Amino acid sequence: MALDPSPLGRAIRAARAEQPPGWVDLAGSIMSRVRAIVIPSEPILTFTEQGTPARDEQGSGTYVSARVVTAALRRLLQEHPTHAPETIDLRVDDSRLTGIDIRLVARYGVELHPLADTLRPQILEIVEGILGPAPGLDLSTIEIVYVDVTRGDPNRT
Amino acid sequence: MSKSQASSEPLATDEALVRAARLGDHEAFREIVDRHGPAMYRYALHLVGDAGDAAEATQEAFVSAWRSLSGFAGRSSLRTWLIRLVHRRAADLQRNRRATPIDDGLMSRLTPAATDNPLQSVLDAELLDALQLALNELPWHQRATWLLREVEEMSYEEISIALAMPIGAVRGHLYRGRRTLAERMARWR
Repeated sequence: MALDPSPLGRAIRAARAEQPPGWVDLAGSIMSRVRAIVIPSEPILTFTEQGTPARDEQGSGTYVSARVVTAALRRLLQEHPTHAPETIDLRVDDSRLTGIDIRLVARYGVELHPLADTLRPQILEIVEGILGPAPGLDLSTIEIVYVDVTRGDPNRT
Repeated sequence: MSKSQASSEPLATDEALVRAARLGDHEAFREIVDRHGPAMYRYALHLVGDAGDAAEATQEAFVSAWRSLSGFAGRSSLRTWLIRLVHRRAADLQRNRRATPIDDGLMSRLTPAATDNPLQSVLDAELLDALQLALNELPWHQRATWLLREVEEMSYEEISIALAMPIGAVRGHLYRGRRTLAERMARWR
């Protein structure tokens, strides 16, 4: 294609090729702002190894933000190219975690049922590592729904 | 994405990055910023003509994007959605500012000497300065449509979505903007 020799045509080409000065610093500033944003999140009660919420004789409890649990599950579910999390929802009743709903995108060709059966114990282990053995929370309370299938790694496609 | 990515690995799609960022993945959002931020900042720079305002508009647009990613339904491309956000922020900033018209004499003073090599001026920063001066004189919508079409190379439909205006209005603003800019930049010979 012939180059437009007009001043405006040359200016357009120059503008398209322009790398705005100061972008690197601005990108860093943007990410600092974003990392500082704390999205409100529900507190979830933790349990001792004995399965009780009380941490002392006065019945003090320790809580962990739902955001912490969700982030840990996200990292777990991003580890392999066979699947990626679409949503992670924690069911919380009276500050107690009662169940987990996960929507996954899977790579085409992956055996869906075995994958879910593999993931449930890993999910439970992560959650119990953070919250302790929450009563009522077991493999049956972890719902996994596949919502999409991709040709490649769903973490990248 | 939190895991390390090999350099030979293909770039993640916008869809995958949005999916991860919605779940709070800062690394995925950083990839979105790196991918689309330079064009957003460039657009804001030419639109408002001030580096400070452009930086603020771009930053606020990304903060807004981070907060509202769950509301991004994917009806438009991620790029169009982000351009729409930065355009709105830039418009907010401009609303309280008074326009400062540029006098024609300033354009004449920027005309290069006759001995200059015109081929070299393609990359000359003064050419971009002249363009900016001409852009500053365009009405807001003409400037926005011209920048999105000619510099960011967006389709009429994408511009229509980004600026929330009918395609017919996009065509009209673009026609008038092109005509005015061609006249003003014709002095740059």
